[in-house]
Amino acid sequence: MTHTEERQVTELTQRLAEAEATIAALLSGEIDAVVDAGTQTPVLLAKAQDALRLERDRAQRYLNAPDIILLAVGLDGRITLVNRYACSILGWTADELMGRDWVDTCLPVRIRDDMKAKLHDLTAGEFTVLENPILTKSGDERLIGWRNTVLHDDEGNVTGVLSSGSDITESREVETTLQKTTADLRDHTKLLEEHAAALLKNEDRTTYALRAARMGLWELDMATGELTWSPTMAPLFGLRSDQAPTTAEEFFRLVHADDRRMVETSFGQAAAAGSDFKEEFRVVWPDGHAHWMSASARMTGGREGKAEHWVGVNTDIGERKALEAQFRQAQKMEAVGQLAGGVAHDFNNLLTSILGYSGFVIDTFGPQDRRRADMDEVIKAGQRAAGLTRQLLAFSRKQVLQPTRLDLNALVTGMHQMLSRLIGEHVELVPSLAADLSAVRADPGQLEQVLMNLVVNARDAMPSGGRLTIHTANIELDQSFAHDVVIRPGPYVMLSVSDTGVGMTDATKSRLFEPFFTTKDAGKGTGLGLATVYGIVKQSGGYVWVYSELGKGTSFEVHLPRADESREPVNPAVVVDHAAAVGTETVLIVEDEDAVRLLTRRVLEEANYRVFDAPNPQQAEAVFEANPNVFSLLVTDVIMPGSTGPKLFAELVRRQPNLKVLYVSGYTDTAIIDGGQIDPAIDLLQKPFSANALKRRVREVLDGE
Amino acid sequence: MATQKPTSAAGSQSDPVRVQLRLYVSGNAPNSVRAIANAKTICAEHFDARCDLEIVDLIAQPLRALADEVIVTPTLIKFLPLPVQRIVGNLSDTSQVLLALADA
Repeated sequence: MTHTEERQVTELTQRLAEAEATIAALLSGEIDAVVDAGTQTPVLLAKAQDALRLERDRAQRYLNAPDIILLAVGLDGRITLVNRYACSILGWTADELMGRDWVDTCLPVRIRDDMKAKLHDLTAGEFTVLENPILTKSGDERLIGWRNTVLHDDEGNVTGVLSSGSDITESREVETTLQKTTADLRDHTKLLEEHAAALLKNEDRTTYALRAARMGLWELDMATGELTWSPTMAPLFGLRSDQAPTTAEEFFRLVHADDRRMVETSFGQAAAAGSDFKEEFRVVWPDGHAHWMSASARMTGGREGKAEHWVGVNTDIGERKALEAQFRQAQKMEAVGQLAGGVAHDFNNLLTSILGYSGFVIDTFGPQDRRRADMDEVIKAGQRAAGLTRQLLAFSRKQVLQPTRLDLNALVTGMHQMLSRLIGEHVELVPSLAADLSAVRADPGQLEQVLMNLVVNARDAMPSGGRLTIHTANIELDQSFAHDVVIRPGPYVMLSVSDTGVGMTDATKSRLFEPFFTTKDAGKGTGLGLATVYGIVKQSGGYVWVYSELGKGTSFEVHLPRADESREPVNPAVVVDHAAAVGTETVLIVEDEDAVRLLTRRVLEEANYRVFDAPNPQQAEAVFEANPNVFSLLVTDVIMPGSTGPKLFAELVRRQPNLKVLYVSGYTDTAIIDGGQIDPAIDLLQKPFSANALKRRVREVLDGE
Repeated sequence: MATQKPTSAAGSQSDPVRVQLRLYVSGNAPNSVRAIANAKTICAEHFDARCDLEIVDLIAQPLRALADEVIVTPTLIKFLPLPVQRIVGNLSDTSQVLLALADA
């Protein structure tokens, strides 16, 4: 977890604590005003009338939303609420309409008897969706599609109907219009209805506050065993208020079976000791899903140390729990990455000498020598090991990235043919690329690796064929994109790879990015593919998400920050032909690993260079001092005992300004690299390297500007 | 609590360990009056001269609530020393208030 993520968790926790404190102060009567978010005016709680008026003003603003008719009718059929838009359609003023009979005033004569009967059914909740003509003051008719909600008072008695409607006269011809309208209406009017309904029920502010904070209050009378819930509690359990438990035993039955004993025991102990009760546990909703909740409670009115009355607050803490889980996962990945990075570093030194010396040995065998084939196998194994090491380094984010401005569409298009061959004929490859895609700043080779790994995984998920879609798009990430995950908001470019394959279980999903986790048969997968994707994307400042449904398919989405428009790519260095990669210049090699130093020396000597070497920066300086102005190039490891390659170069170039440098490194060293991303202008050769690569790079640097 | 602590680098530059408080109230509503009295007492008894206490009456200056995201009164905000802390209520529980201001 990054520092920013940690801070966000801390802030979230603090805000939760502040909300709890505010609720507590509200309940204990220590608050005398609430600031209205709309007008920024404090509303004194002592003047309940004011609060009510404010609530009414606020609701009125919602009521006056354009394009939606809002209408409330009492049980006696009289209009109790009508909004501005309704008035504009009906041609009456609100004052004229309030208190009048809805059916007799606003409906055509021919349907009045029918609608009076229907109004009765409406209050019984019979019709939630309805359409009928209305009569305007001027005698015209309009067709209105309605959505109806039954209104209740605090005791639960029906008091009338609240209807939201839209004028569908013009669009009546199309059969589907009503469905669409009602669907749109449902979305648009949900908020309006909530506020209007709240207004009509005179719901108080505390309930508003509690609901917003996802908190509920409860009381338990120890003498009678009676449990009472505030109206905001039931939704936290996925229940209707009439399903609220009425005893502690009934409540405990709502707790997740694995947590129930713990909660009961803890509550029992608190009751016996007379101390506060505070626990976090899961509750199970009627749909079977578990939700995290915290409960805090205190006894009041105890006599002779015996609890008589509990008052408690429950809070939905799902969001916090999700963050905690993410934090733990991030820590685990970090630890595994550290370990992998350390191992890979040592491996790189070993592989450099294995591959290098194998190269010398093989050249001593004639073309028909059987030992040549044996040696070839050694080299191949070494190269495979080097590939694995690279992937481990990528996962541990210790790999050196050389980012440039990159067009992902071009990358996908360029790889299309290769990917088609890779996935075979039974899978259809469908690119879906955004025309106006922004550039990203990333290492092209690494992103090719990301795309290839995702495509191979998608292919393997579709053994009997299917469709593989590669999609690119510009997107904006904000915190609401994934409320349970901490992200850096801003403009991103998305690259997604989707298949129509077997999908995966939640268990698989949770371990997906761990190195060496694989669901493939032994020998078929290394378990490093997705770990590599994860590492590269993270190191490039992006995110990777996975969506999967068993039997339907899986989709991986990679989000990379859009490139800063002002930063232009740096041109690549001169490319040199292998055969010409020789020279007569004098080179100083500094490397603390003996095998690697001797190998480097031998390769360069065979390429005709004059070579000096030193096992550490101190000796290197002495060699340099003893041979003034003979060296053209310094080839140095980056991290060495006592100093670093860049420090050594800075010292030597001060004495001889035309000296050039080639750094050799096994992994990201902060000495020359900021955040794992190296300046493309710096010349760097990554271990393990082949003899040819070393010769080529040396020549390039010597011939460069 | 009243003893002087060494200056921290994050604190006010001009004066070591200053305590900067802002109390949001609503006119002379009962809890607001109580909170003002309690805040003044706490400042005088525990921080004396190094305490800046600003009292903001939201009835006179409603828009100031916006800046500090105040949603109820009385609310006391401690800006310095960091971290910023909020205390809601009439500040009668002196020990609780001092706990929240403990870093001062």
